[in-house]
Amino acid sequence: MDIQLKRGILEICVLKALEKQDSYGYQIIKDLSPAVTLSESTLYPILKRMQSAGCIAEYSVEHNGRLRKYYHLTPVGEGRIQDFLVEWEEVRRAYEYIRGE
Amino acid sequence: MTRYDFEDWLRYRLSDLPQEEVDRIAAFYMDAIEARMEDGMTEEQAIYDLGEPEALLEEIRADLPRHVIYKPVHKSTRPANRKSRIMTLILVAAILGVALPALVMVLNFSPVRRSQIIYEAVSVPVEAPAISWEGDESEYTFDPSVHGLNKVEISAALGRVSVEPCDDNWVHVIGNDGSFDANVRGTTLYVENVNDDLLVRMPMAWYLRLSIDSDVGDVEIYEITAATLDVSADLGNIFLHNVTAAERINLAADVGNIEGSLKYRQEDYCIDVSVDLGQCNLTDSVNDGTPLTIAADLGSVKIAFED
Repeated sequence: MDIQLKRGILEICVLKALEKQDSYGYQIIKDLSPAVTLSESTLYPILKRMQSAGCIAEYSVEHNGRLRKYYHLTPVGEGRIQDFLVEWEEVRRAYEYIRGE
Repeated sequence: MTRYDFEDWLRYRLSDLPQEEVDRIAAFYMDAIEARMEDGMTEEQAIYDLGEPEALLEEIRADLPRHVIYKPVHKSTRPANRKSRIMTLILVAAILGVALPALVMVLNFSPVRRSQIIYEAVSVPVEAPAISWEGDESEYTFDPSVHGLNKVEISAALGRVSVEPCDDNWVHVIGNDGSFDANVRGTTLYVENVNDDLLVRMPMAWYLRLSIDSDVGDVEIYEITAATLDVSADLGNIFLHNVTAAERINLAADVGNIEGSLKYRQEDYCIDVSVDLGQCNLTDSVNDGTPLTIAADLGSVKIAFED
């Protein structure tokens, strides 16, 4: 799969994982594991980009003597998920055309 | 490997990045390890589950903005065949009736390429220092605006340390390849493990603190205006050429001399000088000037002031 396309899909997956509840790195990876394979080294830059884009916000919670970073989906992030779903319909129609059905 | 070893390794391998970024990345991975341990993995399993460390590092850096630098990978020399050139010169001079010295002068100015360096494009994160190699020399270049540098700290075990100004906006660290380490940690550029002659070129557009600690070798500083200047030489001399600092100057030489010139007038400095055995042309003064502290154990102190 084209790397940019894959990157875009992974970003939306990460946003979706935060839709139900705030979460943290390893938990996001676990939650997404049935659908996509993700490592911390892929997740970290995604979280950084999404934060820069205003799609998520982060906050820290003390956990076992350390500060654990939690991520929260913002309204901008919600909008990104909805935009993806609309755009994907267009992709699906193009896919059906290419497939010839 | 424990998770603390992993963190130390990660921090070391990312030490060229801004400190804040290093802290964020390290905290992220430490949390990842501890979350896996809470999930039932052992510490070793949790670290293993992160993936191969070098590959992990590459993925971390892959997402940083990059630029391309050029590194020499091959240097070949085509000998100029000196003997046949001389014979040719003599023959041509004889034929033309031209004075040989004039002919030598003309031919020496003609471009004869003696070596060819082939460059390989190397992609590096834009936040890392730009590195170039020329023959046996390395030059590390740091942009204070990228790294938020406000201090240059040099620790030299061996070799002469020279500092001079430069016209561009970069800090240049130049020395024989492999004879020093240069890394930014926090807002300080550390030049460490220096074991040969080193040249540091400081940008005049930036107001930087400069600290030099030399074990064996002279320290020479030219035409620099620093924010603060701290120089310590155990077995070497300190030479200053029209130098000054805004907030303070500390010079300390255990065995060698401290000589040279400072900018501005003597009255612009509040001098505290201590010389044990050698001679000294300065006396203590009490005024509102820039604190100037000089200590020489065995050597002499001779400082002029150039207003």
